[in-house]
Parts: sequence; C-alpha cells; structure tokens
Amino acid sequence: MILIDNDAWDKECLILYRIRKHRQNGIKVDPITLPKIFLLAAHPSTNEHDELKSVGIIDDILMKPLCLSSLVHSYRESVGTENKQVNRKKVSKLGSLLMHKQILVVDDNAVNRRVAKGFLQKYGAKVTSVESGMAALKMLKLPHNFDACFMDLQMPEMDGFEATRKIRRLEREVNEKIACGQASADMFGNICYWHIPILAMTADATQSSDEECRNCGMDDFVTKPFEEEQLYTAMARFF
Amino acid sequence: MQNMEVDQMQRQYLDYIKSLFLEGFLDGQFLQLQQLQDENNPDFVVEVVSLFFEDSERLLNDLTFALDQKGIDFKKVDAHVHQLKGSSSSIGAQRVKNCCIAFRNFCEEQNIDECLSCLQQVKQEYCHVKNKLETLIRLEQQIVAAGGSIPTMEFSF
Repeated sequence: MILIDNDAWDKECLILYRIRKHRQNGIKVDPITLPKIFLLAAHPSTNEHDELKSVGIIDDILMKPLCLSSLVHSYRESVGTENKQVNRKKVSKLGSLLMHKQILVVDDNAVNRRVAKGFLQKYGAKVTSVESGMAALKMLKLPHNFDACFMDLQMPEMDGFEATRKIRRLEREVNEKIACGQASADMFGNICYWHIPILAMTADATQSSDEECRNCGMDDFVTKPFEEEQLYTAMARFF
Repeated sequence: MQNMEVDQMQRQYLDYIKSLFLEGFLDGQFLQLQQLQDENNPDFVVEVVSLFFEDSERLLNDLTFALDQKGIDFKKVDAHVHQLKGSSSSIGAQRVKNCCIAFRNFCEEQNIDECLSCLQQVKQEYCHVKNKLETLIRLEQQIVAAGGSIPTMEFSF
C-alpha cells in the first residue's frame, strides 16, 4: 500500500504515474499483489481526483485525518473483497461487451475449457467449448452464429495456427462467392462479409510472437487464465 | 440461523485457506474460481477441481510411462508437462505449476536424470495440493450442511 499526501502528489505525481503505467502495460501480475495507491486529501474529491481514480492511476482518495475504518474499507474495495456490491460493479464493464454474445472456446485441456467457459459466462456470454481444431472447424462452418472465438495455440493434430488458417480460408471462399455473385448473402445468414474475431489464448506472452498470430489470421491474443482488464481491452475492439 | 458451531467452522475454514495461500499451495487464480461460483454455477469450484484431479492423474501416468521408455521421446514428455502446467495454472495450484516450469527446462535439455527427479517432485506437489483441496472442500461442505455460508477470504488488520 502507498499513501501519499495531496500536497506531495503534485511533486511526486510523475513518478507515481510511471509506476502505474508500468503495471498496466507490463507482464501479467496477479492483481492481488499490486500495491494500492491512496491519495490523502483534506478536501473532498475534486474533478481532478475523480479523473485520476477513473483512469486507474490512484485506487482511491482518503480524507485527512486518516481513520482506520475508511482505510480498511477502501483497501478492501480496491482488492475486490469488500462485498458483492463491488464485484457487481466490476462485472458490468466487461458484461456490457459480452452479454448475450455467442463465444466459441477451443482448447484441448478440459480444465482450461471449463475455467474459460465459467469466466465468460459470468459476464453473460453464451459459451460453447470444443477440444480440437477439427471440432472448431465444424462449429464454424458458414453460416454460424458465433460472435468470437478463443483459440488455444498448442493442440495435438491441428494447432491453433492451422485451425485459424483454415477458418480464414473458408471465410475467404464464401466472401469471394458472394462478392462475384456466385452465391447470395441470404444463403449465408444475410452476411456478405464473414470475419469472426479470433483471439489466441497463450500460456504466457512470450509463447509465440504477435507476428506469427497475425500471419495466420488471428486478430489478437490474450493470456490464460483470463484477466478481466486484458479481456476487456481485447474484446472492446470487436463489440 | 448462525450458531457457535458454524462460526467456529467458518473461522477454521478461513484460517485453513489463508494458510494455503501463505504457503504457496494456491495463488490468486483460485480466488478467481471462487468468484466465478454463483447461483448459475453453484458447484463450479468442485467441478473444476475434480476435472483437475482427473486430468492430472492421467498426465502423471502418461509421464511415468513416457519416461520409462528405452528411447525417451522428450517432445512427448514436454507436451504432457505443458498440459499439466496449463491446468494447474488455471486452478491456481501454484506449486505444481512452478514444478512444471522447471520440468520443461529439463525436457528441453533432454536431461533424463533431472526429468525423473522433476517427475517425483511434481507427483509430490500434486499429492499435497490434492489433499489440501479435498480438505478445503470438505470444510466448505460442512459449513453449508450446518446452514452457514462460506466466508470469503479477507485481509484482516
């Protein structure tokens, strides 16, 4: 926990801003272990304070003189263990993106599949999970109703790269047929251009290069297990 | 209605789960799993943990078999370890996951002795975490059976 006086903030804010940015952009860190930053102010929140808080540079503003109960309350809130109310607030941001979306999860590991499904369902998505690239291809035969696909990279028989290449080929063929009039869009659910967002799920950020993912037709990648912030950033591009 | 017994059980549960975190058996991902459990997914944690047990036992058998061969296929061994690393990471079984990370390095080096030693270690860590998780779930079930609710882990000052 870092407590910083409002008067000192103006002098030190650049350093704190850098700490925060480093945390947001850096390698995945367990949110529970991140130090929380609290600003101590004599006067109630000003607009500037609210902005700092909403952008995530500080976790909260506390009134001077500091009292134990407000410190405990704010700390618990920032860690997400205060009470269910806080959790519901967090759910709505990603929930607004994922609510009712149909998502396909492709992973050969049963545990990973179940956890990914549980995570996405929490935010209101309807999830189908399959265990291979082959099964994914069957699900994504056009026309289909999926809004996005999470694809594991390392799978036996057909890995995530190959599965994605095949999916893009299928889409290309249909798109070309529709474009040149060989087929009409209403044969394909009235969609004349198919491109399902495919996000790679990687065990760690260094597992495979961004370039490799994009070359085979993936739109982005996320690390697993899923993290709310990262998922939100990735999904916000598509929904 | 809460009574002394339920209070005691809840305190025992909290102490136990806190110790599992302090000793590194579990990490934040396990808390995530608990947060995913709700009215729509009331048995989520037990479900995932059971899958983990099944999956791990199969993988450990496969690993034992693969490392017992005359000509060891290290690619295969690595693939199994990768799987185990993935699932242990998904449920927050930190020590098992860390064992797997070391194990994979030795697979890359094709170091048979170290791989065998890693296998022993990961089996041990798996046994430990299996016992801990079974105990934890049993404590949860006792609380629920007595009419109480499972407390969430908080930081106390």
